[in-house]
Amino acid sequence: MKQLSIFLIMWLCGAVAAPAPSHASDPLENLKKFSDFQKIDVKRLLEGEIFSQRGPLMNFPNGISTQICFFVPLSPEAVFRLQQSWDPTRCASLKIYASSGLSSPCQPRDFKKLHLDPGSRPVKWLVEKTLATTSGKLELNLTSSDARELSACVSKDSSLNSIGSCWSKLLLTRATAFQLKGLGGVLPYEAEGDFLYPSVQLRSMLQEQGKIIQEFAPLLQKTGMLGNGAEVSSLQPLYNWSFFEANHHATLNLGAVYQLAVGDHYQLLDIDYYASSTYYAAATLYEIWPIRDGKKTGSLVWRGDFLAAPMLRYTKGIERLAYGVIMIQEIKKVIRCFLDDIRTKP
Amino acid sequence: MSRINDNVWVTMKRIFSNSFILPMLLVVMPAAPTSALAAESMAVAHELDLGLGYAGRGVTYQDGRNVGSIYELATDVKYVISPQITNDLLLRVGADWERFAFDTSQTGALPDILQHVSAVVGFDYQVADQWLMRTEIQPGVYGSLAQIGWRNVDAPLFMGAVYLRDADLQWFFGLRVDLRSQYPVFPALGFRWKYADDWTLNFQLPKPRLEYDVNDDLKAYLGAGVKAGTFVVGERFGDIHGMPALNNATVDYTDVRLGPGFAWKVLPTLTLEAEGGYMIYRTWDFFDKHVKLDSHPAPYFQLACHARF
Repeated sequence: MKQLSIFLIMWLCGAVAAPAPSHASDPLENLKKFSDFQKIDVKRLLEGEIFSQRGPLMNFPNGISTQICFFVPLSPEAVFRLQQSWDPTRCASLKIYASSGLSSPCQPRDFKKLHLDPGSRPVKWLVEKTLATTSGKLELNLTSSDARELSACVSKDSSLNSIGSCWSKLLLTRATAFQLKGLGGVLPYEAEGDFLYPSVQLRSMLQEQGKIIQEFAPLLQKTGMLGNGAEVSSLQPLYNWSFFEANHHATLNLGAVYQLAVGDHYQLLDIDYYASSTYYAAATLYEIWPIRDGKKTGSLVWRGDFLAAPMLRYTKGIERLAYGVIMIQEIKKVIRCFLDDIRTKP
Repeated sequence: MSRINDNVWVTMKRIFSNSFILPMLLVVMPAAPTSALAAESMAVAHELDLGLGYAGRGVTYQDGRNVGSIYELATDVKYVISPQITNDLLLRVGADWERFAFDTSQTGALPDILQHVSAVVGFDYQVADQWLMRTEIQPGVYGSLAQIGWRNVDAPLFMGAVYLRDADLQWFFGLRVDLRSQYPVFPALGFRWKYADDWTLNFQLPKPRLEYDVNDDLKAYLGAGVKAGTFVVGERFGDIHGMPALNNATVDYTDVRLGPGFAWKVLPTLTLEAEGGYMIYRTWDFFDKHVKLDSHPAPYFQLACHARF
């Protein structure tokens, strides 16, 4: 059952939102067209119930997916504004040590919040793995070249401050490559001599979702997610990084959020194109509609989460079902924190 | 002469058990995956569990009378193939062989071998957002494999449900139904709680454990283990032991072990376990004949291998 606890899905910065349309189509009908939610009890939705569906098995063996649908009692514009200022580190249950946006082009100072707490066991794990890293020993998501540089960097000074700085440099290099070339610039990891590209993993997962691809085609085409990876995104994303606990391991990630208004509704793509360990890559697609039922108005949010992780290849049977269930619980935890923040800070 | 014949028969049974059953299971195992290769590999799960344990001599009493010191060799092989039928439903089909061999050089109504060979048929199902359930029935022969008949055919039923609160806490509810047993319905409650980064209280029967993560691949634990089963002894068992009432009798066997161990994840799909300690409780209960044997504590050592692929 150890495998049961692997998830802590926290690509938070893209949460929910975009400007609201002045006229809305029936969001529930739209939802039926592409999602696993064929029937939604509107009353329960508006009362705050979060609906969820575990995705089917993928042909991509490292992938897992879920779909979630919930109501936010604010207009899409208001949700969007709050989302921009929301600080997920305030929600202790999410175990996020630091989270911040990145400037473009990104600068070393963007990572000034990265501090390694010596009293934290998950952080100790990351420190131990970092110190054990050599070009020939890759237990973290790195290339041999990354590992060589990281190893040389920490060998000069193995204090926690120095290790944090070394990681900042590594993240800066990867974020810069992504900012220059988009998904085509995502640097790979090396595992057992093979190169593994997070962008390829993201595409592999999304390409299995025919209806979802169709629904999000305008957004996915503009981000370069549907192409061969060579084209640069025509959308300017918001860049971010986070330092958080996943499966009791301190994990660093780099992400980007793309937003697009499409007709009377709004779409977002939030990707993690680098994770230091635990998982390879993640993508969350959001679609947000204004919804009205009697006097109650707000936003209907659908999100589809797609996660690529090394251990999923070996997780089958009932353990696989359990993974999906736990992934949904962890995502719901994030959503509840966001909704609680909205309620307490209207 | 009869006693000699009995001994030969017992020896034959042991040879038969060892040389026939294991190869049979090994034949079944590769056969199943072959047929599964046609399906999507991710949609078919395979589980293989092997266990081998030795318990040293423990002074044994039959209704208060010392009948000598008994050692035990326990073997268990279980293979299950689990194809995914729908997004929420997994089928479980397989075979299980469990065998307890006891030193019978002493006097006393002690069966030399208790074993079962059974099919495994069941399913896993997601019943609600946070609830998974498993139902498994194991129809087979429980007792003497040399005298297979309706008397020793049984089909215990195992039902379990798990409530997945989150990644760190899960609740388990179980039920074992075996109409032959002295306790036909046996409920169980357990939980798995990862209460610290390195510590997990994995309180699940039949193997409750306190686990410590030494590193990503190695786990140390202090735990208990309960082995139990209901068997029917041979039709001449009572005659051989001077207690004709025990011919074809039903016996509930239970042992409880306590000790530390290690679980080493050699590969993502393979875990090896080694543990040792004391078998603190062991009983053979011919409950409907009012004959009971029990042992004093004895040291034990056991190895196990769990493959999931």
